Amino acid sequence: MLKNYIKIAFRVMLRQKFFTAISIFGISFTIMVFSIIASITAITFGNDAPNINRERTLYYRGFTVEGDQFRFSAPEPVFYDQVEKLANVETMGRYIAGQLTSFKNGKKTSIDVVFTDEKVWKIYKHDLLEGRTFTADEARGAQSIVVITESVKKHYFGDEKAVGQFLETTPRLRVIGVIKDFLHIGGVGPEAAQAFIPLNRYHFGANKNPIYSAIIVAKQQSDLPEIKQSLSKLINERYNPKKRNVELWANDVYERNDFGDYLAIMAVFIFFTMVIPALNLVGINIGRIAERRSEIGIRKAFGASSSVLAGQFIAESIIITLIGGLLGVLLTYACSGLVITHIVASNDDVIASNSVLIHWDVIMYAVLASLFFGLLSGAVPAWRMSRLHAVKALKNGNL
Amino acid sequence: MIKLTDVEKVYRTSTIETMALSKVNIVINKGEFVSIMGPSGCGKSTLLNIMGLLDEPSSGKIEIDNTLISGYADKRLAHMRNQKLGFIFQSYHLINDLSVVDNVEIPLLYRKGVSGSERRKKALEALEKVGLNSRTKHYPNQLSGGQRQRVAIARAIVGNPEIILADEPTGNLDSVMGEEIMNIMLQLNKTEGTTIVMVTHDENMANKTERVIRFFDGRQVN
Repeated sequence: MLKNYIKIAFRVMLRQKFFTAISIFGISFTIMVFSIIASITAITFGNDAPNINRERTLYYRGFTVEGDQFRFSAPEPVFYDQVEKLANVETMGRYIAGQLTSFKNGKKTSIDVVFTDEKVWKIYKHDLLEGRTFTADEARGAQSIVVITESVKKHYFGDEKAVGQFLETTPRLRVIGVIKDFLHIGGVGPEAAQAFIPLNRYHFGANKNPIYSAIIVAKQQSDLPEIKQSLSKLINERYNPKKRNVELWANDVYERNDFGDYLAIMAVFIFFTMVIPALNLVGINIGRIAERRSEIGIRKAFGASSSVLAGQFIAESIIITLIGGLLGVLLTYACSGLVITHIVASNDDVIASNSVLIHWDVIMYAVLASLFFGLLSGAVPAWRMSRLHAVKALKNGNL
Repeated sequence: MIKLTDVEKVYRTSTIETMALSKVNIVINKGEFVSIMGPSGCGKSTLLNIMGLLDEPSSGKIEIDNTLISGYADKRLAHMRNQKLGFIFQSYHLINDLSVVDNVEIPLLYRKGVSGSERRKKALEALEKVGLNSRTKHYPNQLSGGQRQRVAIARAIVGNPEIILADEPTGNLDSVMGEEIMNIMLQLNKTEGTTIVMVTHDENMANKTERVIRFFDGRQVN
């Protein structure tokens, strides 16, 4: 019976090419928009690799003491040692973000880099494709070594092995490892870097007064407010003898990205992008099924009950939405590259990542959502038309 | 095989009441080939729809195969139509989106336990019976009127129903084609013992059947 449904669904789709095209385009476009938005949300706020600890991470950038100048972070290593020793801190990584520039074949290329310590390899989960990452000793020893992403490797070394070769930047850096490209949107420091350089190597650069930021991973998400209080306390003790007001620049990922506003806007947007094609589909389905009154009469005459007929029309709707869903996935795949090029890359000179902005869980939910809407949009007209009186259907049919 | 007792059908709107059938009492025996004749609007098709369980009478009783059909739910009526009845319509009523063989398979789709290959085999056999086995992959709009009606007959007989209800099956055909269709139905009645009730305007066709029931203004007149 399903084969028969599929056959007739395809014939009907071909017979009503215009409506089919509108319908399928509506579904696939909706899925694409929904998938890209949801993927961006997941990449920005989720706990997927490499950001496996994101929900319990505090991003510390510094503080301002009232009446004083803005002060990025605290320059003394001892301050960070104290933070790291707080009872509810699991680990802490320090970093300084920047860009390195090089020229290849006369073309300027920029790489988003981060000077960081070895903790970064524990806080984030990267897939190592070649070589190794740097150790605590190497990070402290300020060695001129670097771990790069696969797109940077591809840009400089093509398909050759990168480990042991040098990045012709200033300073010149020896590649010790290659990690898989990863997606980042609005990420800071290690979350947006294409090359990882030992922290102390920064002291040998032009800037002799390094400004650290820190990524503090709490033991539990619920520890974050307490860690913030402890940070304030430490700052007050060390840097605020006159007891003026202190503004702490430390936020978790949700505060950092105005999560609430973002969610509300996205929810409204997704609702409209899903509801409009769904309503359109209801209309199309009513018209599509109404044109087949005679078929309803024939099938009833030969033994189809109303429920079997409703099932047939719903199955047809699902077939159409499923085709739209699969096209939507392909469209998402095709368009995600554009999104990466135009949104994710920090500027035009930066090497484009070859990652694809696809979050498979999200796509699965998007396809399920489209099936749900397909079912919903098919069910109402199917139920109405399947209850059509057989004699009336045969009389008014126009086959 | 079919027994109608005091069957009446009234169509009501908010302003008017039309009596389509009035006190109809008919018995059609197993294996009979009966024609129903009468002028347009006399209730022939309404009667056939009621016999075919496609429409309900306003009052009276219908029995099919000694079973009183009363208060049956939609599913049970559909099952009964599928098992016992086959329909042939004046305007063929084939589904243009399906091939000839797929059209013929339709009644078997709603029969439990019939596999796809079995359905196909039975449909091809039915098409062979009506002499259309060379057109199985064609679509209805690629066939002549007579060929379409033969597909419709194949569809009506594919499930081996005991009763075939034919509503002016030759009405849209020229006399040669009409003869052909009539001969197929006579053959079916004779060799398979299928009970056939045929509505017709054509006296010539009606005379070929065993019995003619005449209607006028919703009433049985003979």
